[in-house]
Amino acid sequence: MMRKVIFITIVLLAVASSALAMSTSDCFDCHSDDTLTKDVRDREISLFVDEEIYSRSIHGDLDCSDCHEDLAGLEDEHEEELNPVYCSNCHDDAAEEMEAAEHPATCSDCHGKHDILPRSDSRSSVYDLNVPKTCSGCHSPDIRDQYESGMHGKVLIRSGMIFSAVCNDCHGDHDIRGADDPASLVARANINSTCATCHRGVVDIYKESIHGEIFADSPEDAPVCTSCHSAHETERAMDDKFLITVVKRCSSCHEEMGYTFSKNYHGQVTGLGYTRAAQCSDCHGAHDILSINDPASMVHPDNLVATCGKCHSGANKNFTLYMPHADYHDAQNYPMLYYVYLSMVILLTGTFAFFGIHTLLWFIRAYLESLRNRSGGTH
Amino acid sequence: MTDYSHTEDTGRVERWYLRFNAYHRFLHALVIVSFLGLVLTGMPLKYSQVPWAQTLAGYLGGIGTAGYIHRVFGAITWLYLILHLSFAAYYVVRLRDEPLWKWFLGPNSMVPWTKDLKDVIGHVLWFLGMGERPKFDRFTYWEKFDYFAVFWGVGIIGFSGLTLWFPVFFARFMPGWTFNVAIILHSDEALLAAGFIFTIHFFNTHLRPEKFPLDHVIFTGKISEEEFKHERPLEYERMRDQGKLDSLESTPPTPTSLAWARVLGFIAYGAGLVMILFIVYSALKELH
Repeated sequence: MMRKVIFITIVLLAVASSALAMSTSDCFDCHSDDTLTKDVRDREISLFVDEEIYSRSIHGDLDCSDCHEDLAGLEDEHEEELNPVYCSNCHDDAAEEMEAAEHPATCSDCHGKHDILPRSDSRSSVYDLNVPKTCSGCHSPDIRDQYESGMHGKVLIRSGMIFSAVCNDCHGDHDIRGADDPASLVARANINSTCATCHRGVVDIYKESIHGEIFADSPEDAPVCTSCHSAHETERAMDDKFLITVVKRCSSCHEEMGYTFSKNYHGQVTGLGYTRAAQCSDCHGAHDILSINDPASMVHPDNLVATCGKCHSGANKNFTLYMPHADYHDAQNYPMLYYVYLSMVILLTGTFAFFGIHTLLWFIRAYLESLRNRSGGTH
Repeated sequence: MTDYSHTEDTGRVERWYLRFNAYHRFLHALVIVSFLGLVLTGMPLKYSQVPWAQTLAGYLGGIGTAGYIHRVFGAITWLYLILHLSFAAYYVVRLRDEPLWKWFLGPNSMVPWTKDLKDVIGHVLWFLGMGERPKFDRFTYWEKFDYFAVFWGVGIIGFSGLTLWFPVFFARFMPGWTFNVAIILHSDEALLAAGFIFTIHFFNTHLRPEKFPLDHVIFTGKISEEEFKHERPLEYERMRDQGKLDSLESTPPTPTSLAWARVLGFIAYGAGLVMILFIVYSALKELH
């Protein structure tokens, strides 16, 4: 009995609703026409909705009027201009985040309209593999190029590994804020913890380093992950391209050390593209870099034999007295090198001055003689 | 003054004498090849900040390969030093036909002595038009200077180069800061050598008007009688008086050997002149 009542009610409701209001199938009577358009500010906008795509979308079971609310209750034609769709009616969490973050995109810019698929669907515009393309719909293609040339991009695209970081892994899904917003995931103070989402072990090591210590006190004064690894063009640390530029990255703060490094053998050959010579991190460490005064530092005098020995196998205590940052122009700190250099300058200047004058005078005399001989002078 | 460049016009049959034997010429060829190679492969490192250094290192197969080639030519340098010292020892022990001290201070020795000092002064006075041109013997004072400059240079550059080649070995006897000193010595002594050879030596030997454009004697080993009399009158007269002139006489250089001398000579000093331009350009750029 009860079942019968429910059945009749449903049938009656269905009949009533189809008779009184427009249903989804009524909408497709018009909107399945792919030539249907309207003009908005002199631009032709297609009003075509592919029924098949819509029915397969995550919202395929909804009626048009569930989103286009001003269609609800209409019996026949609707106003030419419909109200905007408010996704927030259902997706209020995401909408709140979007509003707070002031990311100017609309839902449909990233997710699409009638074709929205769950993010786990490989055809979704927010599926990991498709995110870079989706974001570059608004953001400069330069950033996408940088990303694709970096390690994250290569792992994603070339190796097809969907666990690689894509835009939203670092910048957030809906909570997308500018880097100068302190609440941003990519704000200077938050970068390290954002990277730690994946690179946890490295960030833990960094926290123990001198850079990590300074960061804990004042994030503005310490390098964060992106200071050395860059944001979008994240390179593999063992690639030549990265090794060659390590010096440049470190010298953006340690200017003096970068200069003296470039004046010495390791720096000179590095400058010429040779990566097998020591760069900053080979002697000082990378994420685990410590103050030279720390007994655990790779460049603490007690550890130099081991540190130099990494490349110069068999290096002894004597060997470590080499000064890789020496500057022979600096008489105060390197008096001996300065005086050796000065002696060489005097030797060179003296030799060239004497023979320069000697040669010049000789040339003049010999030239005069040859003129005299040519003009039939005395033999 | 004798103008031997016109001797061919006189129709007289010209006599030729041997100045450098095959061994001398061979060693000098080793010097030319290794020295040019060393400067070429060493320059990019010395001037690593200047853009062309990177380009040149690239042409040489990267600075790693350039360093490898540099060490090969360094080894050739040590080789010719050893070959020369062996010859010098053989000469002193076996070939010398005069008492040791007399040879040591005499015209067949490279050791500078009072005559050389007089020659320097006399030569400069002649430059200034204040005297006769000094009469030179087998080795002039500037040739002796060249010789000892190379000797000193090979010693300083060669030894500092070895310590930088095998630093772990040398650190057994020397503190590591000596490598810092070695780099300064190696690099600046090399600058001195390259600067000297590519300008002063080239001028004194080839580019001055009497020799221009090339003195082929170091390639053919032969010197004409006219040039012999003019350039080295004391040796000529001494040999003539001792009756040894005939033993030095040789056939004229063949056109083929002259052509070879020109080709090799021009390549060598063309390379040298290009390198000195790079060096001057870089040195000026580094001053800024």
